[in-house]
Amino acid sequence: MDINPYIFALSGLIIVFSGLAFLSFAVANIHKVLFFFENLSLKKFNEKKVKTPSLTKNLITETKKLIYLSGKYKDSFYLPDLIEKALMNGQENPWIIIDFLIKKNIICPDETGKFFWNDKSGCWKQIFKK
Amino acid sequence: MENFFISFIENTGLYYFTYKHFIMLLVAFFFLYLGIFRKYEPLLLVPISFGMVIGNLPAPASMSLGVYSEGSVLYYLYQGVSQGVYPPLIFIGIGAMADFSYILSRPVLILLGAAAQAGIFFTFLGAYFLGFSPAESAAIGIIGGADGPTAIFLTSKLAPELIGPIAVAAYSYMALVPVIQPPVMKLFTNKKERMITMKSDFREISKKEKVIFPVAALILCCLIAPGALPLLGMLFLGNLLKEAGVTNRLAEAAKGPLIDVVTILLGISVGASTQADVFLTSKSIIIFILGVISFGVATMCGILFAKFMNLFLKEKINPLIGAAGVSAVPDSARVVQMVAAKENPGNYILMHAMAPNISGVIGSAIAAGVMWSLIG
Repeated sequence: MDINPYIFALSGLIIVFSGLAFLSFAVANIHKVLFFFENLSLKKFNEKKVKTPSLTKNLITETKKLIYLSGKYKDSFYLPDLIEKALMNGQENPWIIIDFLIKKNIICPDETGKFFWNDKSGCWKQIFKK
Repeated sequence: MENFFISFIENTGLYYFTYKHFIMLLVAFFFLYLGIFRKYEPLLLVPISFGMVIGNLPAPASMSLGVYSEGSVLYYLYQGVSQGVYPPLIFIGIGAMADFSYILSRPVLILLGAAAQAGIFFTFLGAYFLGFSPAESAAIGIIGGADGPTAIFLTSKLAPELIGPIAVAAYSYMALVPVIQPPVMKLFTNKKERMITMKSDFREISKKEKVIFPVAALILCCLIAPGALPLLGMLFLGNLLKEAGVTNRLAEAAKGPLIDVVTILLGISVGASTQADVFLTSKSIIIFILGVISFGVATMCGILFAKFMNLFLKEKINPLIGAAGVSAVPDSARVVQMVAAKENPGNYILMHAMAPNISGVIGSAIAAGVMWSLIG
């Protein structure tokens, strides 16, 4: 087979590079895609099943416990972790908790799928001082 | 009685022993020494070098003992090499051992694994202009990927007659990573660059991501380079077995008994294929020289690309990790850590080097697939 070695080498390198660049891009966004679908199911769940959470004293106490168990010492945590831990700790409806936390400006989700403590409000310290 | 004695002499190995066998046995002893006493990739070098001893003990042709004699035991073992069966099996084991968290955590470092594959294509050009055919040049170039199974796989498809020297060159250079790479690293970096520290704030990777990655990566890579399917298919299958969490027995088998058995068979058959009459040719010597150049160029390209990336990155990366883009896993990453620690003992960049190292495995498999599909 007649080939132009320069074109072959260059095109080969470009294919390898573009393949891995494509992979790099996909990997960099894989958790965003996951977050999108998780968020989608969260919205559906809220729309269909969850009524406005009643912010009783009991719920707030439970929430404090839940946050404590979900990673007091971390700067951020993932939604699945929080839900898993909530379920493990007997909280039947973790979505209520999360909804409550967002509404109270205690945690705020970002576009990457992470939930961050709202440092500006100082909620962290207020909650865990006790 | 005299005839019997002559006949006996003619049926001994000594009767057929030549200086070429002697040279090959010396090479085998040297590799055995490196493997056992210097601990250079002993799991590979010991079976390969012992295979070289087996392959270079001469015997009468009528006895059909060597890998090239149809019907011999070694011939059948060698089919796994010549038909490209062993490399994908080894890749299942590699996949089951590999941790792609490094890649998932720092996806930008995947590009370093791509840059290091430039060595493959530079060597292709070198071999081509030295008179090798395009298929042979591609098989020689893949040595620069520093991935033994990939080199064997591609050579079995494109230039089966060169499997012996290419396999030995690829595996020996993989074993000699601690010798070959550090001088190149030092040549293309200065002390200040080698001392760059990198933050160890790897993000936590969820199980979902780990499970999705092998499936998604296989589809993405093989849509671009379908020739990489036999290798990447097995690599990502092994990884999925590990990450799925429900196939632990299979993952344990893949990264334990399977890879061990195949490594023994591959090592013995590759070693035995280096029979003096086939192996000791000027072509083999050129292949060895081109192989080491390929390895050096791959290391250089990885480092230079890391330096190039630093022009755009806010948080600078240590350019040494570019050298780990050659896919000798995990030796290359270990050597990077070793060189960085020499300059600054508190600098731990091993985990960062693992990302280009693992992506180098994927990159060299893609390069092999591209070459196979374009030339094969």
